Amino acid sequence: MAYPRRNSRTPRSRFTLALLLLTAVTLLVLDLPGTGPLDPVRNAFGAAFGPFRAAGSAVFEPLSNGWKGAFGYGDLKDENEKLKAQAEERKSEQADLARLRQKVSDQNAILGVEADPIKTKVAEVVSGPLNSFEQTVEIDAGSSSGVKKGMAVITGRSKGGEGGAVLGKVVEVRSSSATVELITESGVMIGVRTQKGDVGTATGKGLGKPLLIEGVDELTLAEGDFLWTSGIDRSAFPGDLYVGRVTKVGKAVDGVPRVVEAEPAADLTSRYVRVVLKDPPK
Amino acid sequence: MSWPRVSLVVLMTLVLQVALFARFSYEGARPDLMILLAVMAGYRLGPERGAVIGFASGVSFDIVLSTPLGLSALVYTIVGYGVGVATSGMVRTSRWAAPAVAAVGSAAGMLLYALVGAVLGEPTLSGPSLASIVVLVAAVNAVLAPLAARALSWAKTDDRDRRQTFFAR
Repeated sequence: MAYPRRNSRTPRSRFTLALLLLTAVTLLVLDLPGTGPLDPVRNAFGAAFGPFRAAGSAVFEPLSNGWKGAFGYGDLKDENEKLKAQAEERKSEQADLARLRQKVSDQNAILGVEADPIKTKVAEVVSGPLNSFEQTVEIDAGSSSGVKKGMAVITGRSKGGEGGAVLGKVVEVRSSSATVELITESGVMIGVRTQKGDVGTATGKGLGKPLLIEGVDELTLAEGDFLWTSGIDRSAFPGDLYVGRVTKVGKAVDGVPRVVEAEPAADLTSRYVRVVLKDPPK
Repeated sequence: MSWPRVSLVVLMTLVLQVALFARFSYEGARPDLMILLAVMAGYRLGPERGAVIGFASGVSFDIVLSTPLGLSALVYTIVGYGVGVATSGMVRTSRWAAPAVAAVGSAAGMLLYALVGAVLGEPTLSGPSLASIVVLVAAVNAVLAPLAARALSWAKTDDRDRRQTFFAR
């Protein structure tokens, strides 16, 4: 029989609520960035849930692919057309790049400079974000593979075709897995260099939004210009990694600097990525 | 109330969220089963148990998320308690009551999460559109509300201890 439930908003239930809220706030304070006394607990539970995430990825991938196909077909078609156009453009750029690399290599040989190749660890993305507010992915390489917090992560190829592009950086490390914060997440900042050699920063503004470029001479920039990591100032990112292309150079108004935006080059849905095994700055 | 059963329901919901539902997104928005548990606990079991189960589901979700530990726990506790208070005098004759409560409670929960996250400096307002998150989570949770209600009914084995508070047991 349907009946209205009695009011159970008693002083005791308010006490319970207050106690729970106090516990939650205490957890928030203990988990403040830089403190981390709860990290071991979190890492242990995260590692315990790793197999579930991996199993979910393996078992339900066909289902999620079907979902993406059903709801993202229009976007995929547009992107395909765009990629075809970019691929044609990149062919000539690749030739230029190969020529320049050869030139640098020849000059290094003449000057006796030996550049160490960047060591990377290939990893598979085993799980994406777990809720709508998270912008991280889980990879199957952790501290046992030499991965450390703060290391850069790049994709195997960019959206335009060949060559790796910056995907993000490692924010949590467990023994056999790690969490990677995407380059687009708000507040994630990396040093960039323009084609003209200017150095500045690229800051994430949120998933699906362009990167904000600051500190460069906007007058020398044009839409379509390439951006690379600067590799300076004790950066975790080695130099010359592909970051993206300038998509917007705003107009200067009353002395206010122009707004410069860039589209990240990395395919944020990449399945295989590479962790750059370069120690992050202390 | 059987707390081992409640723990099992929370754990199974977390596994479903992590392994299955998190894989489906629309415009970047993803379903959130953990808040459904908090909402339905408040609706079916009252404010106090709604708060306790909301806290449990929130803190267990926090452990696997990269967002600050305690954020989901804080929000889901308030949601569980708030839904319990708001629906305490409600006559439950309509079969649409549970889905409606799940939709409204989940939508409010997502808004609160984004707001509290932003206050704590998290990029909760800069990701996918908040409108799409609210609509998707509310719609999915409205559909799954009867299942969550059934799971909680299974966990609620004994009604005699309803008068006792969680901490008095």
